[in-house]
Amino acid sequence: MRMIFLIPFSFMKKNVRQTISILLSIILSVGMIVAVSCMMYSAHVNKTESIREQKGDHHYFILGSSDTLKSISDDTDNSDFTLQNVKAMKIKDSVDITGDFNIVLAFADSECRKMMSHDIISGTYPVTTDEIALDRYTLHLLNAGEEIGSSVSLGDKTFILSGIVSEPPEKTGTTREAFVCEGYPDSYDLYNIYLKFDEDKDLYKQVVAFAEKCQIDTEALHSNGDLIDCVIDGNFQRFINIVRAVHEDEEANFITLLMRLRSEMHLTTGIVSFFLVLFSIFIIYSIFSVSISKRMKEYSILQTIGVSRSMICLMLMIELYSLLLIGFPVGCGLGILADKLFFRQGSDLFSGRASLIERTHSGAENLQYTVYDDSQYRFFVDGSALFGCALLIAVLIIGMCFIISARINKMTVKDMMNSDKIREHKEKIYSLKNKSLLNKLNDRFMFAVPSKFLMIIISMSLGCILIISINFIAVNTRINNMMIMHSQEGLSSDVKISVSKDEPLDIGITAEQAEMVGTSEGISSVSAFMYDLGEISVNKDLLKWKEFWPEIAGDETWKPSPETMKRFNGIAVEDTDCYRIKTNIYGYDDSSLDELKDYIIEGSIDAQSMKNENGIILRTLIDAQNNDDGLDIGVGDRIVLKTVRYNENNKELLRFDGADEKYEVKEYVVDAVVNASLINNTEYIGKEGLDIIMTNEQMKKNYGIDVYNVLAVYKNSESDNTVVSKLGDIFSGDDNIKIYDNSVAIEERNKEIKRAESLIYGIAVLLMIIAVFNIINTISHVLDSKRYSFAVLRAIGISENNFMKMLFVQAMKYTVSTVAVIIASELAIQRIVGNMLKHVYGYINQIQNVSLFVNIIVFAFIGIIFTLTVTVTGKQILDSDIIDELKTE
Amino acid sequence: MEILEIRNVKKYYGKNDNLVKALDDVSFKIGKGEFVAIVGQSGSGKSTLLNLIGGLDKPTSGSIIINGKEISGFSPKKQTEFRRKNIGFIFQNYSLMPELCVYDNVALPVSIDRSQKTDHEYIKRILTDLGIWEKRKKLPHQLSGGQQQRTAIARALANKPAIILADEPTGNLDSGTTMDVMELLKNSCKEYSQTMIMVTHNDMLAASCDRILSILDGKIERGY
Repeated sequence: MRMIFLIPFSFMKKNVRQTISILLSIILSVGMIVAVSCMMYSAHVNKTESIREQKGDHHYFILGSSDTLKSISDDTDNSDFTLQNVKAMKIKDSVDITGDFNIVLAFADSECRKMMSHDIISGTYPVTTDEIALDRYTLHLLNAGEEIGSSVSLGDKTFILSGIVSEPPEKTGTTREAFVCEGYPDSYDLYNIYLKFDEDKDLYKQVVAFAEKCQIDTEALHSNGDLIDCVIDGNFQRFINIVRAVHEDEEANFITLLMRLRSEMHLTTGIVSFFLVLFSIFIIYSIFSVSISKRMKEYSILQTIGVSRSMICLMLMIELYSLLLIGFPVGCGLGILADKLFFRQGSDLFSGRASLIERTHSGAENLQYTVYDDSQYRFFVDGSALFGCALLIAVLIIGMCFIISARINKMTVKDMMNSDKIREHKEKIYSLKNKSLLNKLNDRFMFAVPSKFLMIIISMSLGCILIISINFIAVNTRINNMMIMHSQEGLSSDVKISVSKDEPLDIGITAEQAEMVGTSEGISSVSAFMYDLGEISVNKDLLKWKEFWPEIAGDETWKPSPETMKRFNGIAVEDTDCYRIKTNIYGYDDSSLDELKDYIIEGSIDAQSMKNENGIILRTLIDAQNNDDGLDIGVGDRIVLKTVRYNENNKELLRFDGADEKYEVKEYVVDAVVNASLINNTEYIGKEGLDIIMTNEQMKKNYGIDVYNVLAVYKNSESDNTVVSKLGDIFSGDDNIKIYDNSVAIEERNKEIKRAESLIYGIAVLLMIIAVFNIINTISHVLDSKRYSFAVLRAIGISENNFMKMLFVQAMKYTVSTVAVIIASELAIQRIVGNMLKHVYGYINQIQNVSLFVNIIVFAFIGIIFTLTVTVTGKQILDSDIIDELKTE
Repeated sequence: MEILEIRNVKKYYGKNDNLVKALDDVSFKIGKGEFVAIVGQSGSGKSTLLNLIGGLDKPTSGSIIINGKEISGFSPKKQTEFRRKNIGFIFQNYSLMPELCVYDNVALPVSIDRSQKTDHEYIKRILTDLGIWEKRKKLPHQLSGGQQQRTAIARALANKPAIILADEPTGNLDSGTTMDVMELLKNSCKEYSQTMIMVTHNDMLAASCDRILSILDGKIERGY
């Protein structure tokens, strides 16, 4: 029995180099898995806390009476569920504001307000019954001022504004909240009861048990979805539920499944973890196999003396587990250190943290943003992930040893003695047609055992495939992030100057003012955009996605916003034979049109041609899966566009249901279709409708518009903070003009993008190190296994130069074979991953393939590694004693 | 005329208490075309002497002069080149290339020497004389020990070297084949004026050679 331990340890002692290789592979692999998993876990925890702060520290809330509240509060901890916190907001009264929306007057103590994440940000909480606290958007809707102490009228009541509260975490449709004091008269016995369950237990099970106990319909529970998504653990049952739900949904497809897995079960984390573990196990297996193949003769001797397969399996396991016992803790330590030092900054990639930019509902206010505070990042070690990693590797080791011992058992003793048994080759004499046999010898060395050759090539190419794929993802992620920043987050320029929505469309920034901005100190360039609002008629058979708009979706539970109905009569209106869709009409200058080319789906953009032919660009409908076939209008199709006549200043006309003579109708041909616009005028319909883009010259010619609605201003790199105030001087006294300074937000966003890239490339570097290590080990072994043949060649008299040349040719052949496998794999992988990026992750850019330059760098790097390894090993062989080598047969 | 002179050659391994004198001040000469047998017990230094003559090892001291050139002072590169052009080695364990067939194993020494053209007729003749022409396309692991040995002999003869060093060339052969091989070696010796130095345990074979050198404990016991 002692021999079962002695033999593996003696093998390890004898093959020190291989033992160290296996140990290093375990350390590096575990280190990489731990670093990435700790980073993902830290990101997850940080994100959870951030969401808790933003969306409230509760999982559900329910509307209930005092009896309901009592029954909940009386039993918060039993075997089926645990309520860690229960707080209630007392609903005092409700005021209907002229049919548009209503305001609920409520009392919530500070604990409750904290749990709701809806608290006082300036002023004080109401103390007397005539005091009220409201958020800014509600004040705006009420046309009330924000000054503390000012009057606020709600119906027939007048209050004094005592404080301003933060925006409610969730949009509540037509209902707004206002806080009043505790003593305010009660009109109802109604509470909003906020519930927080024990997050260490299964949340869904607790909720079901809770609802049953308190006799509450689960449909009545309103969930804090963002927080629940963070705290719910992904488990197999949940996965099955999602698959079942998608399968039963006739309109759902595979992309729908992936999207749901992404949002509900952290698909990204799962994919990254899966591939990292797979790669690591493959590397460990590859290196261990190399070690085993060198001692086949020893195993043949063991077999000869009667050692069974199970005992050999046990010996292999003892060897690997001994190394795992050392390698795992060292790897964990390295991984945690690497995460603490290098990866903390890139956690955003896995946190899926929302954009830095928090737009206020008021729209007319300056953008508010949250600057990422690196010092707030807290590092966490995911103990369960470490345990899971150890368990997974331990289980896979058993599998590995099982496979290898089966392989040993399958081979006859004779086969093992002749461990490099060469496949029966076609009987052929090479020297009859080839003067030099060295090339043929190289081929025989490499291809004599095809399965071994394939294994070598796959193991060497795997790391490089991952690295190129990572580069593919990184490049497209960067482009996507930049495009989103420009088109969706309004961060296309350092400063944005725009017109307030309360102004008629013919009021705007004059050409003179635009020129003054352009020539201001510290300004490098200005892009000027014009704006109009219109309506296009779309034949019913051309609109595939009626469900895009609540006005025509036919869903009773989905109502359009009252403001939209009031101002515009809805975004989409159904007529007898067509739909009328509200459309932003943007005028771009030439440089902006050039930038828009990145967003082309169909057609081409040529500013001069547009001016000459009066062509337009259509920003079409895009769904959550990034599909763009909802509207069957493409290049060459005609669009009929209705606009309000320029001199008509009646806002009611924006409903497009006024007399025909108030409007003008023009027809255009579509030159190009894009998936996004560079600017988004949120003062009107925002992104809810369609966009038509033409040149500023066309806007003037077609509609007589001669003022700008938005200026995108770009600062010089040397400009300072006084630039914005100087711009303000140009528009001083002009209350209809708003200036937004995006520079800090852009800087932070760029830093965020860079951090994500650093992380991605950091992981790539780790993978590269492991891949290089594997390549060196494999090639060294391949050459090492031929030491006897090399000794024969040297004994016969091959010159050093010819010998090294032979090895170099071999290295090049391995390089070419590896590169071929990489290229073939990448073509398939980039296609699959590209589709996922576009349809599951919603990337808006045209997916870019990995640049030829990157491919060449990787291939050249592989070639250099092969050549260096071969050169060093070759020199070692040449320095060895020929006679000793001949004895190694 | 001498083709080989061994002058006060010593080959020691290890140091101090671990010092092993594999060869201890050996000197002798061999003429061109001679067929010399080196006999001795196991561990007497026979193979060591052969390796030194073949340039596979370097003496601790002393000189090895082949064709007037002192090869013991050659750089490894020059030694390799010299060995390629002038020495044919028949190893005790055959030392065939497992990846090449019989024919290609035999042609290998010629193929790596760019100054020589492969004489396929000659190779065919050697293989036929050795009785392995029908096995020419087989790989070494498909041959018996004797057939492998004959392939190794054929390889040593292929580039018509000046000196053939043979370490127990007939060790694994039956008596009939042994005689055939010895005949071939002698004929080759005569035809191409090759010098043959053969290590053997077989007294009968040794007796059939032109001269016998006996080694005992690293020294030449008799014969010179």
